[in-house]
Amino acid sequence: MSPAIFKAALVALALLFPLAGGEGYFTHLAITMLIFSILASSLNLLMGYTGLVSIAHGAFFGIGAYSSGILALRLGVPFWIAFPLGTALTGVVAFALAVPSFRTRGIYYIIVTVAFQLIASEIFESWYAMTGGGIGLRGIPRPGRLFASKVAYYYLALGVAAVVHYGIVRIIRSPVGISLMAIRDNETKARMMGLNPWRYKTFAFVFASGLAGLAGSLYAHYMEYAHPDLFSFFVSVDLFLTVMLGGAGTVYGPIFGVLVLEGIREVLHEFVALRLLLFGLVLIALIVFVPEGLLRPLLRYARRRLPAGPGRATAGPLRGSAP
Amino acid sequence: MLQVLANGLVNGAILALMAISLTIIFSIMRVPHFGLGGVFVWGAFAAFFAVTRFALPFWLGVLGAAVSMALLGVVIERLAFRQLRDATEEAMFVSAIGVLIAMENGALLLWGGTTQSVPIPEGLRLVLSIGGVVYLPAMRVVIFVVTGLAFLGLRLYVKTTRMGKAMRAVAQDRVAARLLGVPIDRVASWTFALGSGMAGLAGALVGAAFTFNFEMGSLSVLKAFVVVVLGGIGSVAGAILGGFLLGVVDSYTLTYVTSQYKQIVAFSILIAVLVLRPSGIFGQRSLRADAPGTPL
Repeated sequence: MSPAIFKAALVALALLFPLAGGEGYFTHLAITMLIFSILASSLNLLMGYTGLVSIAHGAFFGIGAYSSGILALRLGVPFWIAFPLGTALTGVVAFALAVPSFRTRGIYYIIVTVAFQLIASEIFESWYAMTGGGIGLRGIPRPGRLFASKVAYYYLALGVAAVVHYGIVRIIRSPVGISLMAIRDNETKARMMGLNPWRYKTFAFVFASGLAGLAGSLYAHYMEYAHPDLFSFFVSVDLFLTVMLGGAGTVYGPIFGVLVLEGIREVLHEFVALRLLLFGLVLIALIVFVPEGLLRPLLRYARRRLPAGPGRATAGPLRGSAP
Repeated sequence: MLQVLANGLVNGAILALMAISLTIIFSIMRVPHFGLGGVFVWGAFAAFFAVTRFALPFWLGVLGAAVSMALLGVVIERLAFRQLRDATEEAMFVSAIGVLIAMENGALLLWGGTTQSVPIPEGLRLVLSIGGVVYLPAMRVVIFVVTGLAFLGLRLYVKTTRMGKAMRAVAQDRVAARLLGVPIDRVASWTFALGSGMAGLAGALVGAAFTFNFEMGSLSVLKAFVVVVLGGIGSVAGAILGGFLLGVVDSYTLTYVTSQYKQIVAFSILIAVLVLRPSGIFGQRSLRADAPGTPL
């Protein structure tokens, strides 16, 4: 099967899928995967292409969900206004975190994002008046009558995800993306070549976190519900694992990661502890044995079996050697 | 007022114990071992089962918890960190988070999610009164004493023994130490044994003085990291001071400011210190926290 036919088949599958899925469980699963693919892809832009490991993606996901949900539920703002507003607000918060946090580096940077995640989680849990606390925010409206059904919402999510993925790929392949990678690989060198790392990193962080907020808004209005557990530290780690599993710094890796991990999440739906135990072990195994993620080795293997060009071998950006 | 201070100091002692275990592993092996949160939980469970199921005396149970966690720490280093020795700190952090999540949820699967307490002997159940103003259960005094002993013991070990000397050498310059024939693998094993043993000890003591459950580890280890940062990364004395400081601050915010947002204060301090004063509040050197090679 040539790549063009493969791609056409994939698009056809995505467009025709709801005919088979209907209002059932599989459409629900597909909507969740589409939303999580936005999260994984945007986190990948940060982790894989800019070299900023963020454990706060779940928090921004939540900020988007809660702000858009609260706007719609408490102020009666229609979805089409709450959705961009929630996204923009998340971007503003991300900017407020980005400015001070870029003074730190390496694990200290990661720790700042972890601390931010925990602060956000505590606010989601404790600000009863706004977020509903541990009960959660219930009754967030679906966007109008048009998107009340799952099939319709599937197309909405598909459209948004397609635009987002297209945009991210365009950024990665643009001069901006190349500058981001230059900063990831060697910030001093990038600066010497006249790039302003601070500006690029801020852009990447605000853009990626804003997309997480967008995904959050999309998610909240689909689930008609928001709860602190949906945006917790563990969700951030899950997202991180998703990107790692598929391969940070690859275009399709994170989407592959979403397919695998969402699959596991669904199978082990009832067994949260077992799933998290497994995720923890997989995380260790990945970083120790295959830091470049699973997709690339799998493709290399497939290419060896099928006659085609050789795969490229590169180390994942996370496992460079120590300075 | 004074009671709040006393409670804060007790919490601070626990935080300090955890912070010391984090800081020795981090400054010697460069591993940000957040998996110690899991070790902390398992230490509490180990002491609990030693006392309840195997009917060991309390002291032996606590000691057993520390020793078994030290051994487990060696195994964890082998499996999760040895391959990563020349990788970035980020990679080791990822592995450590994996250890933390796996251990906490492993504990939940194996031993359930109920909140329990390690039974303590009759002799430790009394409550000491200091001048009728401050009341302290004897168990909390024990925490104080044990933390002090652990600190002194560690200091003595690192300053006087051959292995301690090797540890200091590795902390200062790993490549040079290796060139001079310091057995890195053995230093790593001993370092992880020491750190994990202390984390296990902290878990057992907390489980006895208060209550414990499977998920108390992640918050404790993150708070311990706040303490490490406060005290200046790599400084054991700083970890102790930072522990008491955060314990007291936490205790006062809990009582007088807010019980709803109690973690926000700690984590805001963390962000502020990392951003504004990365060498820590008590750090003498004007080193940035991200500069390599912070000596013990």
